[in-house]
Amino acid sequence: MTDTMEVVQIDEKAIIAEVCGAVRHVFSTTLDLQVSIGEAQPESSAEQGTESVLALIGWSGNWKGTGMIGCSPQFACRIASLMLGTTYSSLGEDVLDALGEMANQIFGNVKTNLESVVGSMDLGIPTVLYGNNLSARSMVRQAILIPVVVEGHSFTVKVHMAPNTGQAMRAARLCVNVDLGEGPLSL
Amino acid sequence: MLKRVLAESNLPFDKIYEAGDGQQALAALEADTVHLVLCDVNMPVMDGLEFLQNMRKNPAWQALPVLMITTEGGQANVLRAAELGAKGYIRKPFTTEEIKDKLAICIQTAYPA
Repeated sequence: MTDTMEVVQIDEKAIIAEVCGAVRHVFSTTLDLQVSIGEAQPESSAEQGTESVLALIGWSGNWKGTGMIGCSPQFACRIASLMLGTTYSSLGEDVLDALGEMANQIFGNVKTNLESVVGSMDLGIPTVLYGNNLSARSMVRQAILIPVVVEGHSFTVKVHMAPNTGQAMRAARLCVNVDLGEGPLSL
Repeated sequence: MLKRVLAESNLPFDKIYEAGDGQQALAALEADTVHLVLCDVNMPVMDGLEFLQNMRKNPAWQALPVLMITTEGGQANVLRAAELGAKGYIRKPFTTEEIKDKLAICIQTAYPA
């Protein structure tokens, strides 16, 4: 018996749709906020950092990925205030934890929803960075940047996903392109 | 976030312990009498399912109600949590009402009047 495994392909459009759906769902459910999502675009190598708070999280399995959210400290405080029911006016542990939780919920939902297509993946623990003029860039290939505006604040979402090359190279015998059609995946 | 919901729920608990991982949670169980556990799956050091497995090894905690609250909504995790005796599984993001309803059911089942 040969050691074969189907390598399921998903396209960038499906990943973007899933991320946008998760952003809307998390902001609406957790914070009761409506979002405006702009056109997804490849991240630019010339992009200058503007955020002061970034939350990153990774996942791996048959596919691996990294997600990032970023915003100003003011909006981070706003997120924490809504999430925790207490007013925050400066960055502190609770505010940073709240951003980490947002990354966990957004990309945790993306990961769980895509598992039904690409197979099981394990989610990491969020890392939250804070400072001045931060930026984050994928080292593997260009990530997808999704601009989001919430209550007039900029909220950056970046995602990068790719097949886990080692497993794919050892096991790939059949590639199945899955046409997911319009709209995000749902369970 | 959960502390706020618990405070608003008017449930009869007078102390809330927070644990950053499964190991801290086990230590909290050792230190005091606990009546309900709300547990994430994705945690450092010891994840929620491993915590649940370890918790059930102690006869004193075998009937302790545990509600899983997590982004890990895959079927394998849900089934495993149920096998380990979790009384409910809530996927994040959740609404306040959803949590309150699940908490009420969980407590009524574990501690009938």
